[in-house]
Amino acid sequence: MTALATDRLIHAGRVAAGHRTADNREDAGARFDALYASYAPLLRKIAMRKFGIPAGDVDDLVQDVFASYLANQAAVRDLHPYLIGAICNASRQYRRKGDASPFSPRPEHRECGATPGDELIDGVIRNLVIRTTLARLGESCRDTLERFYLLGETTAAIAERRRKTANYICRLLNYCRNRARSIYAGMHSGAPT
Amino acid sequence: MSHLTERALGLHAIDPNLVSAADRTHLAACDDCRRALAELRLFEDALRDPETWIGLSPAAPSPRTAELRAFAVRLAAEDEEAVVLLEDFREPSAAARFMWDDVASRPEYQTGGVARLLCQWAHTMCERDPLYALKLAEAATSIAMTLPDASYPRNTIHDLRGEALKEQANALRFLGRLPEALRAAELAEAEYRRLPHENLGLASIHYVLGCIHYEQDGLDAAEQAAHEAADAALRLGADEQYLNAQYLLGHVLFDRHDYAAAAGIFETILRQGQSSGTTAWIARGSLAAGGCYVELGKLVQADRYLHEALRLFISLDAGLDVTRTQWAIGRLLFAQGNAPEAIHRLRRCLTELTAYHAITDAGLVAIDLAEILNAAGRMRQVPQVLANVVTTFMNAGKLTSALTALAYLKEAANQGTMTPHLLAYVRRFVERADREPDRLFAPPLSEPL
Repeated sequence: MTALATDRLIHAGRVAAGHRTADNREDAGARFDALYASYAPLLRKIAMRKFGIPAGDVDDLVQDVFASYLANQAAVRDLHPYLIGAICNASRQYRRKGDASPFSPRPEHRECGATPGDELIDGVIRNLVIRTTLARLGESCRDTLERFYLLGETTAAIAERRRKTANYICRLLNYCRNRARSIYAGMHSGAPT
Repeated sequence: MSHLTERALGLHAIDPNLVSAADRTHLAACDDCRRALAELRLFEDALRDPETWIGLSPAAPSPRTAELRAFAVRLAAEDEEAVVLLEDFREPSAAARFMWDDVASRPEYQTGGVARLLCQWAHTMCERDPLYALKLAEAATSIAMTLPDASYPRNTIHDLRGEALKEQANALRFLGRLPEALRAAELAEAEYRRLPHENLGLASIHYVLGCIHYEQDGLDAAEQAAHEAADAALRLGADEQYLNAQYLLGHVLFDRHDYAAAAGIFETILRQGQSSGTTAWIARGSLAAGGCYVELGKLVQADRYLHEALRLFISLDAGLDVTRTQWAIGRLLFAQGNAPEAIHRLRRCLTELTAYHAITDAGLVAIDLAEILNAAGRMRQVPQVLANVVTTFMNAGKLTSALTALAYLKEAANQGTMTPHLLAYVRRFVERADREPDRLFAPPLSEPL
């Protein structure tokens, strides 16, 4: 399970980072990019969902975990449980320091196994592959999807900015999302489309 | 009515009012269309997740990520340079030149890469040549302490310093300089505690501390450190370190004569070895569990475990471990009432251990053999067995207090004053003599009542 999860994440991360394994094996920077693209989303999710770390502080913990991994690369034999264990340790440490902070502790979420569930990993992999999909869309499509889905702008607001009708934006949104799903389906056979 | 088209489904997902009332009515009643819409919603959920959009804007990566990337590149470059700089010092034969050159004081060697490589070499060298391992670790410590705090991002300099001090502690432990080892290990722990979170170094240093306490007979402290090491390793999925910690814990329990608990630990180790397919751990766990069952008098289990260990060590071509298992089987045979075969096996073990230059083990086998000969009514043979092993120690140049202890036991055998208490006392002393060469032998004060 662990090795499989590692392979799936690294593969998805390489795709997301545009990393070609065979060409860049010796390149520590490219290896880091792939690793970061693979694991940073998962580590953020664990810190936020399991430990309730505020979004503004999560990146700091994730960076600490990667720095610690880089400093210990030679000693780490099994990357996947190491990184997950490290983010759990970092999150616990954060919570210990922040006992006096205003947010309420969530003790039921403090336990952290070295292997998160398939559902969490599947979600992270889906995000990584969709990210790659979006990178392949044209600028206009990507911008439209980003405004509607990520930023929560209404179709009317997007239409006003673009000097188009809301109806046109709805059709454009539909086209762009379907285009993205089609690319996604081609890249990730077997996943929900 | 036919199912909704993909376009209609997509428009419905954006705003249900964009499709006709008939389409909406159909959707409410059609399982297939609702399922298709649910799949579409899943995709939309991913589009709403900020994680999906990270790195898609044309902006450069965050400065902190760029700093980490630069750190990764720098570490790789430092490691490459270190291999070139240190290539002449890899073997123990270079020890004198390494010390003469005083590499730690030369600016071109004052890099994290050199410190890391020295740590790595010290680690692999500590059993083979602990003195050279110590010199390597001391140089690594000196370099790591010289580097400014800010030279590595996110406090990771403390990781490097902890690592160097840990290797220093380990080498000192193998040299038997236990108080100094303890001091170095405590300094290493203090460095690791300055990191933002618990990492592998802390698991390792708990293990080293546990070994030091164990060798100093501080069984309570050793047990606590072994638990801490195991917990820390488990949290980071570091299986090998976890098993090492558990193995130490098993030995602590064994030394406390809590053989049942020790057997439980060793059986857990061998099961974990089985699940990970690590033959060496299955063999180690089997041998140690077999030893516990000999002490517990559960000879059927002992027989099964020890013969399994023997089979596995033979398959691994681990000659010394094969002999050590034969030694345990010899003790088992004695417990089973087959003293002649036990004596025969232990004599053969003595010869083989001497050939492997495992002199301390040979001394311990001689003590076991003396015990069995005594119990078998062949007391007259004991002085000769002990005289032979004393000669072996002298021929090997092993002029330590263990030699004195064995010579004392030989004299006691000659005079007919050898008792089980004296045998146990000398055995314990010889077991520790390698790790504490400066310790002086003194006869036991009195016999227990």
